[in-house]
Amino acid sequence: MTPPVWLIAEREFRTYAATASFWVALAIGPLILAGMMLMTHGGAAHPAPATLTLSTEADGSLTARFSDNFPLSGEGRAAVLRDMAKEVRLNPALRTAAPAKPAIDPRAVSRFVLVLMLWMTLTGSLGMLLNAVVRERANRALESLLAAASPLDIVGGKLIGVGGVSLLVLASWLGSTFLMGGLMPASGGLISGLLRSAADPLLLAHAALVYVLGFAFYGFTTVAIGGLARDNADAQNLARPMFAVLLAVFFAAFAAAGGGQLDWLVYVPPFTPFMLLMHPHSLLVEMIALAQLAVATALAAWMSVSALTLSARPVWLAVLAPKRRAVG
Amino acid sequence: MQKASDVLRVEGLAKRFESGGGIDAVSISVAPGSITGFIGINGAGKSTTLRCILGLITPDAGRISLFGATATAQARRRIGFLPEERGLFPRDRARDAIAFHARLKGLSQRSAYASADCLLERIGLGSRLRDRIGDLSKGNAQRVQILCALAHAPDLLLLDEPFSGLDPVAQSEVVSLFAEFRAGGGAILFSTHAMAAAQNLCDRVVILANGRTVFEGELAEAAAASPHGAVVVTSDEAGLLTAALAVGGEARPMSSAIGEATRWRVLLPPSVTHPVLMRALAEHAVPIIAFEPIKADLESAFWQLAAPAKERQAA
Repeated sequence: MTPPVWLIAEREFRTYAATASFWVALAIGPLILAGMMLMTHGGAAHPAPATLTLSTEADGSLTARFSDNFPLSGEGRAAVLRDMAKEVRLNPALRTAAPAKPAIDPRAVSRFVLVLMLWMTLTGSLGMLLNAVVRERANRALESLLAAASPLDIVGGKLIGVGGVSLLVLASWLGSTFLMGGLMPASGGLISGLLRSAADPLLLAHAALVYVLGFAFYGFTTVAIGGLARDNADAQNLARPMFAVLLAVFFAAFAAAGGGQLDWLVYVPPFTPFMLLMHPHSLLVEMIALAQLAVATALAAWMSVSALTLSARPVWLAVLAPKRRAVG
Repeated sequence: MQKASDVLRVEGLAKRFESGGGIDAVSISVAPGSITGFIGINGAGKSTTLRCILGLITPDAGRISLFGATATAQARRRIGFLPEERGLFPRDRARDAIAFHARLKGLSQRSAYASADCLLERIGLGSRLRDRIGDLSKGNAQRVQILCALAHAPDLLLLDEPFSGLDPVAQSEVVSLFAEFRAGGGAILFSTHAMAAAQNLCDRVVILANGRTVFEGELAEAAAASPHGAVVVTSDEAGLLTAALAVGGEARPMSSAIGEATRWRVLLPPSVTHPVLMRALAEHAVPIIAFEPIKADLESAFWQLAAPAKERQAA
C-alpha cells in the first residue's frame, strides 16, 4: 500500500510533467542557454593564445603588452617586467598599462549561481503550488480528498510533487550548463571552475539543506495563502506580497554579492536561505539562522495544514479571513 | 431504533458555526445491508452531519460510532464518500481517477485499477475508461465520481445528494448499482431532498429539520405520519383561511406566491372529507387553481414532520 502523501505527490507531479507543453518548455530553457553561450563565445572552438608582445617605440624604448588571458597574475606580470627592465629600457608608462584583470573566484560565482537557482526554482514552483491548491478548491475536489487523506498528507504531497517538478527543471538547467561548458572549452575557465567548486561535497550538502528548508518555508507559506483564497484571482492578490518579498530577496542577494553590508538579513527567515548560500558564515551564525528558519517553516506548515481543514478555524485564519467558511 | 450491530450510530450530534447555522441534536442509525434516506431542506444540516461522521469537521457534542466502535481514522477507511460538491480533475482519465481514490483508501495499485475497470464496465463506460474526465458528459463524470466512492469496496456509503444532476437513465443505473451494493451486505446513508428517489430506494428515513432529527424510522412509519387534507393553489388567501376554519381545518402556506397564487396545505380533521372542503371553498367564492388530496407518502410526511420545527425556529 502506497502512503497517501506519495500518491498525492505522484499525481501532482504527473499533473505538470505528463504534458507535452511541459517537455517543450523544459527543452526551450537549455536551448536558450546554449544559444546565449554560443553568442557570448562566438562559437570559438579553441581559446585565443596567450601572448606577450614587445614593440619598439619612436624614442627607442620597448613596450610590453600582455594579452588579457596571459596566464599570470598582476604580481607575476610585474615580476616579468622587472626582469626585462634589467636587460632593456622599458617604456615606464607601460609598466602599469597591462594590469592583470582581477581573477574571478569560481567559488563565489558558484555561490551566486546557487542563489540564482534557488530564486528561479522558487519563483517557478510557487506559482505551480498556489495553482495546485486553488485548483483543488475550484474543482471542489478538496472535500473528497480530505475524506481519504489527512491535511498534512495533502500539503506534503503537493510540496513533494511540485518540488519534484522543480528539481527536474533545475536539473535540466544545471545539466545543460555543464554540458555546454564541457563542449565549449573557450568558456572553460569559469565553467570548469564552477564544476570544481560545485563538486565540493560540503558545499553541496549545505546547499541541499538550505534548498530544502527554503523550499519548504516558501512552499508551506504558499499553501497557507492558497488555503485562504476563494478562487484564482483571490490567490494571485493574496500571493502578491510574498512575490514582492521574493523580489526584495533577490536584490538583497545581488547587493550582498557586490559587497553590501547585509549580513544581518541572514536572521530574517524569508532572506535566510539566500544569505546562507551567498556568503560563508561562522558555524554559530549558521546554526542560529538555520534553527530560526526551521521554526518559521514549522509555523508555516501549521498554518498551511490549518488552512486546508474544514474544522474550526485557527485564530490566524479567523483574523485574515473572517467568516469565510460557512459550512451548511 | 438503534442496535448494537449498526454500522453507523450517531447520537445527539451538535455543531454550531459562527455564521449561526449548524446542527443541534442529530441522531441516526444505519443497519448493515440497508439504505437510509437522510432528508431535509437545504441548510437543514445534512452535509454538516455527513462531514462530522467523516471527521472532516469536529462536532461540539455527540457521539459517533462506526462498525460497533468509536469512529476512528481506520474505521473511516471502510466508508465510501460522495461529497455534495463534486470534484474531479478534468485532466485525469476516468480509470486513473477511480484508482487514485481506491489507492488512497488502501488498495494496491493492481487491485485499484482492476476495481476501476470492473466498475466502469458495469455502468457501461468500459469503452471510455481512458477518456479524460473533462471529455465526459456531466452525467458520466458524475457516475465516475460515484464509482470513486465505491472502488475500494467499502462497507458503508455516505452519499451527499447522489442523484443531483443525473438524468433519469443515469439515475436508474445508479439506483441498481446501489441495490447491488446493498445486496452484497453494504449499507448506504444518502442525503437528498428528492422525496421520490428516497421513497423508491430507502428502507428507512431520517428527517432533519433545523439541525434536529424530527423523525427516524421505517419508510412505512413515515408515510403513516402523513396528515389528512389537501394541497390547494389559490390567489385568495383570506377566503381560503376562512373556508379552512369553517370546516375545522387549518391552512399553511407551502411556498411564496407564484404570480398571484400561493400553494397552501390545508389540514383537515379525520372526519372531514375532501368534498366538504371543496364545498366550503366554493361557498366562500375562493378561486381554485389546483386541488390535490394529500397522499400518504414520504413527501406529505416530511411536510407534516418538518414544518413544526421550521415554525418553532421562525417563532
